[in-house]
Amino acid sequence: MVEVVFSAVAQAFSFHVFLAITAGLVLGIFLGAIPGLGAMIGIGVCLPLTFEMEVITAVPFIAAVYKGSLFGGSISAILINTPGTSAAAATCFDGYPLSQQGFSKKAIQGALYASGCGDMFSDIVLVVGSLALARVAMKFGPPEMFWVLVFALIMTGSLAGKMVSKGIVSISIGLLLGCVGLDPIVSVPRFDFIGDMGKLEGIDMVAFLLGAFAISEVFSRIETARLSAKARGAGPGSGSPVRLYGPSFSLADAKYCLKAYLIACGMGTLIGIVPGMGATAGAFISYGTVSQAYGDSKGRAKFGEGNLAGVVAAEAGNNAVSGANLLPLLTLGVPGSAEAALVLAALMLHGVNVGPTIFKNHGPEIYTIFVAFIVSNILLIFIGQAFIKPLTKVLKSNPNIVFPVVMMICFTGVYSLNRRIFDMVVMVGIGLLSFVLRKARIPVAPMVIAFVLSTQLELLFRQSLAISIGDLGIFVQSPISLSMMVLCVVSFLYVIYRRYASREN
Amino acid sequence: MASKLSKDRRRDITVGIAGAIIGGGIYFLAIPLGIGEVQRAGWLAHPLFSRADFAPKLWGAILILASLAIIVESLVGKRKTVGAQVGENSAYGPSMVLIVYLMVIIVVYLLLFTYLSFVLASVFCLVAAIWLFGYRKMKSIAFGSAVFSIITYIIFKKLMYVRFPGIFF
Repeated sequence: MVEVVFSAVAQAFSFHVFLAITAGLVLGIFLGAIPGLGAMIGIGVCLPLTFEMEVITAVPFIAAVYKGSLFGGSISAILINTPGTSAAAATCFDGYPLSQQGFSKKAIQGALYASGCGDMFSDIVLVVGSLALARVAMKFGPPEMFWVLVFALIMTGSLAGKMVSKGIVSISIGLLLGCVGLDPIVSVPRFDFIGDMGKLEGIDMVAFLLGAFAISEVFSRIETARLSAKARGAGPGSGSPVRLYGPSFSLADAKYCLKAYLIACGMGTLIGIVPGMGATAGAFISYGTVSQAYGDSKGRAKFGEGNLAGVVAAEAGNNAVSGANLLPLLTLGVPGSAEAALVLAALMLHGVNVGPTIFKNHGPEIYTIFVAFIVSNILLIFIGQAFIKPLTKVLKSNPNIVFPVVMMICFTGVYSLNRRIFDMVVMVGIGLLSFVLRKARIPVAPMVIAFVLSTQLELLFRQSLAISIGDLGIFVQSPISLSMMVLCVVSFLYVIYRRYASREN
Repeated sequence: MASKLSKDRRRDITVGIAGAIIGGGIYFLAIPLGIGEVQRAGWLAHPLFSRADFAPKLWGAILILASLAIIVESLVGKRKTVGAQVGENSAYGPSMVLIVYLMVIIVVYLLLFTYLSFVLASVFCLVAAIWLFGYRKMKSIAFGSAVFSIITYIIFKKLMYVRFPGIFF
């Protein structure tokens, strides 16, 4: 066993593996930073490049693209409120306000370290507790997962501002928009007056997220950009009045965010283990949980208004999913997400059969891949650091040019996903809706979170009823379900109490 | 402050009424809105399981209740101060005219993109949008837009094999 581990370490530090990881991270960060692309397209484009590689090089390369794109998505989310990937959408909530306040560097470094920590934590869990955790995850059936999602929705109450009712309106709109398309159980079209494409597949998540963040931001910024251009003569360099980079992420920031790291890494890993829950859900659920755990965050900005712990929570949460997602894949042969399915494709292309016997049949290769994952986490910190200044300079240089260009990239990126004009129209529609909601002082964040979780929430509810043959008792039958339900009720009452207590104060 | 307060209340009441109308529409007009149901027998006929309109109706009902709560809170609630929300700059609220211009640019872009050409549509949209955003160096805008559109075309078409609609490139 010791020999296998030493051999794995030696292999993982070999030149070609090292080079593949570096190339994967650079490609991943670059692709992740472009709105509309992201991990799926990144891995899809890079998969053919691995045909000639050995398995111990190919899988770390693919994993590096995945990890890099998760971090890359946060850069554009923080700088221009445009999530490069759907997993980075939760980073916008606090990352963009921080950037507007002149703390771009601090926010991106916070995201980078959180990404590294999240990855490292979930990879260590992957190495240490593969089989045991996979067995625990299998105990989470549809009723238990339903309560996890209800809990996540309740946690978004912290983003509702002063009026909880406005937060609930926002959540309802998100849930309703998630209903467009085919019913997840009986396949009946819903809201089919919207259009033929919407009738079948519904609203694409990337189109929705880019509309809610990027396009609504373009609408909001159009007049401020004109005014700043007039004030500064509209020449090159007439950019934002705030500091371009701002101060770095300090030790005090790390101390403040420690709780966020721990909660988000735990939540992200747990979500990653459960098949069907991706990095996007991991980021949103971690963000909601951390925002509740921090409460009113005395002396710091509120969550949603530029709290660094919010950035850390979202990034650690989504990256912690990446390693944990491979856990059911490697041990049970069940890919936890679309990205994990692509990693499965890479493994199968190289003759590795996943499942309970994987350690017996491919032990040395799998341990080498694990060590390479850990190496890629460390490399991500250094390579990501090198990207901060040039990307900040490009994305923050001149809003009069940057926002139209971002709009164009969003259009092209969204079209390239499904080759549907419908997605482009939906993106503009959601952008307008989000803009109107912001003007009406209804928070957009709960709507986004509800949309992301909507289909899964309904599916789990109705799957549970199918299992119990229509008996609602299934939601309180198992000890896990019962505990989760009690937790949801207590959390809901706590959210209401805190809103009213803060209003009285 | 008094007029500001009443303006906020008016806005919230409008939001509440609009939300209640939308929620009510979805709740009561679910079937005309294109949400059907499947006829099933036995336990599969359970209303929570088989009906495609169950979830939209539930969310619609929640929307109605929350909207009514906004109206009630606006009418009877005490509010001391009115603060700006995140991402909203009250001093420079975008005027509707600019939003309408941007929408016109987007509609023309989508039409050009669908029926004519990706590159031409992109150049048009970039030039018009950058102009609308207040940048006035026309030569730089035109040159930069053309270069950007061609590079984007090459990346998406040649490297990622995205097939664009339209009769030209």
